[in-house]
Amino acid sequence: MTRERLGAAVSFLLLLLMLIALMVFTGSVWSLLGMLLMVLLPAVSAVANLYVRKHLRAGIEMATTTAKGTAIECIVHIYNDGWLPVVRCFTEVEITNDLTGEREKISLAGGAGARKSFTHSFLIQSRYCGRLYVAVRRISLMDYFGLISVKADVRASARITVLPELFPVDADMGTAASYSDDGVADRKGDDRSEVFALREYRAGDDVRQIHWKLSAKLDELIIREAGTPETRSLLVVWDKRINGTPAQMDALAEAVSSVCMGLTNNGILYSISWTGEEEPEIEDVADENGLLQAIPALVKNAGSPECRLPNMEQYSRILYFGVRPDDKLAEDFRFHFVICSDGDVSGATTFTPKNYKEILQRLEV
Amino acid sequence: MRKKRSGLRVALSNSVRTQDFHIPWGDAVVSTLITAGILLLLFKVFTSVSLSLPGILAAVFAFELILLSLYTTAIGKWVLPVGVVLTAGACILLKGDVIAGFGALANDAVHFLTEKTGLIILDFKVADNGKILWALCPLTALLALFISRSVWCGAFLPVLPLVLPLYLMVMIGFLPCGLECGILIIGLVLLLMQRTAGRQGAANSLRGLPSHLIPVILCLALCLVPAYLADGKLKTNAMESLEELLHERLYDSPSNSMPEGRLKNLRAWNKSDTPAIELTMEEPEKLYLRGAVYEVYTGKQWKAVPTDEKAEYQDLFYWLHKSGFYGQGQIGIASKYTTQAEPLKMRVRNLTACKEHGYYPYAVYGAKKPNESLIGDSRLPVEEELKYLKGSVPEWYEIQKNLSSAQGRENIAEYLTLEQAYGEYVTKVDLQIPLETWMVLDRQLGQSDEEKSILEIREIILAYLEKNMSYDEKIRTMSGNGDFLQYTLEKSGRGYSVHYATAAVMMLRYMGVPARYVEGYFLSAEDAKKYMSGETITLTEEYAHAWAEYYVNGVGFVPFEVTPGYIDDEEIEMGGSGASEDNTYAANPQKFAQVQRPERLEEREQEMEIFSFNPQYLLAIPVLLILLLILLICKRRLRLKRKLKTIDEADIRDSITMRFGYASCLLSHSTVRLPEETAKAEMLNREALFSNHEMTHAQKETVDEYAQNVLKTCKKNWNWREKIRYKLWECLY
Repeated sequence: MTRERLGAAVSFLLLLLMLIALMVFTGSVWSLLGMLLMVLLPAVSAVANLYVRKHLRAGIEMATTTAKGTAIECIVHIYNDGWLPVVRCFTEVEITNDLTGEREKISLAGGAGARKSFTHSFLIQSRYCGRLYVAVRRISLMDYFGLISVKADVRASARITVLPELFPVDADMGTAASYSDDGVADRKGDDRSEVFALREYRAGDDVRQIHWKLSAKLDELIIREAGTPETRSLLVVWDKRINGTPAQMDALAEAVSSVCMGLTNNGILYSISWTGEEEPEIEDVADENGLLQAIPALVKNAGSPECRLPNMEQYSRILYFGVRPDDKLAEDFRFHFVICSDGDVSGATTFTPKNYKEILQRLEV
Repeated sequence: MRKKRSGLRVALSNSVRTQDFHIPWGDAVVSTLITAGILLLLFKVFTSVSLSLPGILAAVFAFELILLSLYTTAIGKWVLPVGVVLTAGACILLKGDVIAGFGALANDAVHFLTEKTGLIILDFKVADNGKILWALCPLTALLALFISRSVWCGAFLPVLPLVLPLYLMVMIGFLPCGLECGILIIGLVLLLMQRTAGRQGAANSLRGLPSHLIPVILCLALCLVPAYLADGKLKTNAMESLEELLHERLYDSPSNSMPEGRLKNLRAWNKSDTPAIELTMEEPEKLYLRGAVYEVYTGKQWKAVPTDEKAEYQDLFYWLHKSGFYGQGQIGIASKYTTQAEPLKMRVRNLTACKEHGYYPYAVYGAKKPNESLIGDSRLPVEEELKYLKGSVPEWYEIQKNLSSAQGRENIAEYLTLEQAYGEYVTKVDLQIPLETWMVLDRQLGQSDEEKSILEIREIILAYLEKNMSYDEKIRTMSGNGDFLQYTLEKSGRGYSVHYATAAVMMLRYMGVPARYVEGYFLSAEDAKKYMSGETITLTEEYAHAWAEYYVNGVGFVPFEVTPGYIDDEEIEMGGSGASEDNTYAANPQKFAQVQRPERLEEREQEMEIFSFNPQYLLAIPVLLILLLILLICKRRLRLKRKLKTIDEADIRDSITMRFGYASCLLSHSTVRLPEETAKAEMLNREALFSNHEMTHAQKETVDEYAQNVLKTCKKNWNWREKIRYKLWECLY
C-alpha cells in the first residue's frame, strides 16, 4: 500500500503543479477550477470515509478442510451499510498456519457503492498441513486520490484445516519377555498372584505371604512380595513443545496420522495425545472414524513449550513423536522414540521430512 | 541469506478479473472527457475540421464505451493491439485517401504555425483537401484506444505524453485555455481518481456510478462559484515577464537606456557614456540607425504586429520576397531604378546595444537579405558590414519624384506594382489606433473631414508639440495601467524622445499617415562633421534615440523628427517657406484623410477565452441529480422485474423455493404476524429443497398464492413512507 500511496502522491503533485503553472501563466479559471477540485475532493472524501468506516462489516467464506497442495478459494466480503460510497479500500488479510507458524499477507483493493458490498476472492495453497487461520487485520479507506488513509476497525476470520496426507504404514505392537498379558513381574505392587521378589520376613509382613517351602529349606522365614497389575496399552504422543521447521512439523503430522491409521487398520486400540497451547489433549481411538475426527484437532496448532506432557503412567507402551526426545524420558523403557531430525538419534527411529514415508513403512512398537 | 520458501501461497483469484460482462460507465465518462478534450484542442490547430461539440462528445463516448465494454470480456487484452493493427491496415488499404487527409491536416498545422510564428511556411501539395476526415478517423481511433486502455488500467502517467505537448502549447499561448482545456482538466482529475479506484477496471473503479459521481458533481458545483468570481482577475503577466527576463538575459546590457517599446511607468532617460555602437562610415553624415521598429501601440507598450494578424499577409510577403522586395531596404531598391549613385561602405559593430536585431541606416543598399520566411519587415537582421546611399529625406523624396516620372518603364512598373501591394499592407497595419488613444487625439487635435498634405500634417504636429509639451529627460511617466499618450499629453505634458516619438506616430496615424515607432541611435549632422572618412565613431547611450517614421509612397519609410534638440537645420530647411520649391514636404502631393473612430475597443492582444458562466446553470445540478435518481430507480425496478420473471420461468421445485424466499424477504421487512398458511408454505418449501419426488403445479400455485397474500398483508401494514421506500428504493415489489 505504501507504494500505491507514493505513486498516488506523485501523480497528484504532478497534476497540481501543472495546474498551478497553467494558472500562473495563462490566468485561466479552468485551471483554478481543477486546482480547487483537487483540494476539495480528497478533503470531502476523507470526511466521508470517517462516516463510512463506522458502517463497514466484513465476512470471510471458505471451505473447512482441504488437502495439501490444493488451491482453495477464499472469498472476502466487505459490506458497506453506509449511505456514502467507498472509493477505495485496502483490506489486509493475514493467513497463518497455526501448525507450522508460517504467515502470509495479502492486500485486497476494492471499492463499494453506498449500501453495497464488495467481494474479493483469492486462492490459498499450502504445501504443509495444519490449520490455516484467515483473518481480516485491517481495512484502510482511501480518499479520491489515494492520499489520506482512514483506518476502519473491522474484523473477520475463518479457519480451514489442511489435512495431512496419509501413507501406508504397517504398525504393530510386538511381544517382549518382560511383558505379560496380566501384569508385569518386574514391578512391585499388591497383586499377590504375581511375585515381584522373595525376601526375609520382617515384622509386620502379611503371614499369608510366607513362602513356607522355601522357608523350610532355608531355615528362615521368607515371604513373597506382590507385583503390579497392568494391562497391555499404547499411547501415541506427539510432543510439540519443541517446534521444528514447517517441513518437520508437516512430516510429523503425517507420520503420526499415518502410523495411527496403520495401528487402527491392524486392530490395535490406542490413545493419541499431543501437547497443546495450555493443556495436553488426549483422545481414545477405537476405530478409523475416531482417528479421522482427531486428526483436525491434532494439526490445529503448534503447541506451547509451557504445556506439560499427558499423564502416561497407565500406558505400557508409548510411541513418542517429536523433533527431539525429552531427556527425562530417555530411561523409560516404555518409550519408543520416533524422531524427525536431520541427525541420527540413538535408540530412536529417525526420519527426515524427505524420507519419512520410506522409514516408517513398517513400524513395530 | 536466502529467504526460505514459504509453504503458504496466496494469489488473487482469476475469477475476480474476469467478471460478468458489465458496462463500465464511469471509465467511459473519464475516457471521453480526456479524448474529447485532446481532440478539441487539436481542432484549434486543424481548423478545417468543423464538428460540433455535442457531436464530438457523443461519438467519442459511444466509441469509448464499446472499447471499454470489450475490455471487460475475455478478449479484452487483445483489443488494443488488434485495434492498432486494424487501424494501420485500414490506413494502408485506403492509403490514397488517408494520405490526402493527412496532407490536409498538415496544411492546417502549417497555417497554424504561420499564425503563431509569423513565418512563411509553404503548404504541402495535397490531391484533395476535402479528405480530412480520412485522416481524422484513424487518429481519433488510435487516441481513443490508448486513452481507454490507460483509463482501464487506472494509469495516469501513460496519458501524459499525449497531454504534455498540448499543455506546453497552452502555456506559451499557442492554444487558448478555454472550455476544451477545462474538459481535459476535469478528465485528468477523474483519471487520477480512477487510478485510486483500482486497476484493470476490475476493482469497481467508479462503479456504483451515481453514488461515486454525486460527491464529485457537488464538489464541481462548489468550485464553479469561486471560479466564476475569479473570472478576469487571475490574469498575470507571468509569460510576458518571463519573455522580458529572457530577452534581458540574452540580448540586453545594463547600460541600455531605451525602453524597447515598454512604456508603462516609463523611467527617466538613463543615458550614459557607455559605448553602445562602433560605427565607421565612408562619408560620415547625419544618420538614423534603426534598431527596433514597432507597429502596434497598446496604450502601455509598443510591440510588433501579432503573428496571427501577420499570417493573413503570408501570401503577399511570399510574393514580395520572391520578387526581391524587402521593406527594410526599400529606399535602396527604389533608388536603383532612378539614380546611379554609388553605394558607400559602413561598418556597424554592436558593443553593448541590444543584440536581438541589427542597426541599419534608412538608405541601406544591397544588404544581406533578411529572413525571407519572415512575414513583415520590421525585423532587421544582425549585420556588421553594410552599404548605404548618401543622402537624407530630401534625396529620398527626390527618388519618389523620379519614380513618378518614370513609372512607365517596365522594370519600374513592376517595382511599383510590388510597392503598391506593400503600401496597402502598410496602410492597413500602420494606421491602427486604440479607441482610447483616438479619443485623446480627438480631444487634442479635433476632427476634420478635410484631407491634408504631409506638409500641413507636419506643421500641425510640430505646432501642437511645441505648444503643449516640454522636453524633460528626467521625467518619470507614472501612467500605470492607463494610456501612456493620454498621460503624456493630458497630464504631464513633458517627456523625451520616447514621448515625442509616440505622440508623433499616433498623430500621424490619426491624420491618416501610416507611421511606426523606432528606437535606435542618432548621429547628428553636427557630430558627424567631426569625423573623417573611415574613422571609428563610437556611439554611446547618449546617442540612443526614439523617433517616428512614416511611409512615403514608392520610397518606403522615412524618419520624422519632432523631439526638441533633434530637429536640425536640415529638418527645418526641408520645410522651406510655404509651398515653395525648396519645401521638400510640399513636393509630396499625396493627401491624407483622418482615420475614422475605431470600432474595436480592445487592444491588439492575443484573445484569451473568456470564462463566462451563468449561475443559473447551477440549477441544472438538482435536475441532473433527480434524473440520475430516476435512472437508478428504473434500473433497480428492471432488476426486480427480471428476478420475478426468473421465478415465474423456473421449474416447479426452484420456483417454489424462490417464491417462498421472496415471501420471507417481504416478511423480514415488516412486523406483521405470520399468515396462517405460513406453516404449509414452509413445509412445501422444505419438500422442494430436500425431497426427491416431483413437486406439482398445485403446490407451486399454493406457494405463489401465499407470497401474494404476504405482499398484501405487508402493504396493509406499511405506512406511506415505507411503501415508497420499499417500492422505489429497495424495490421489493
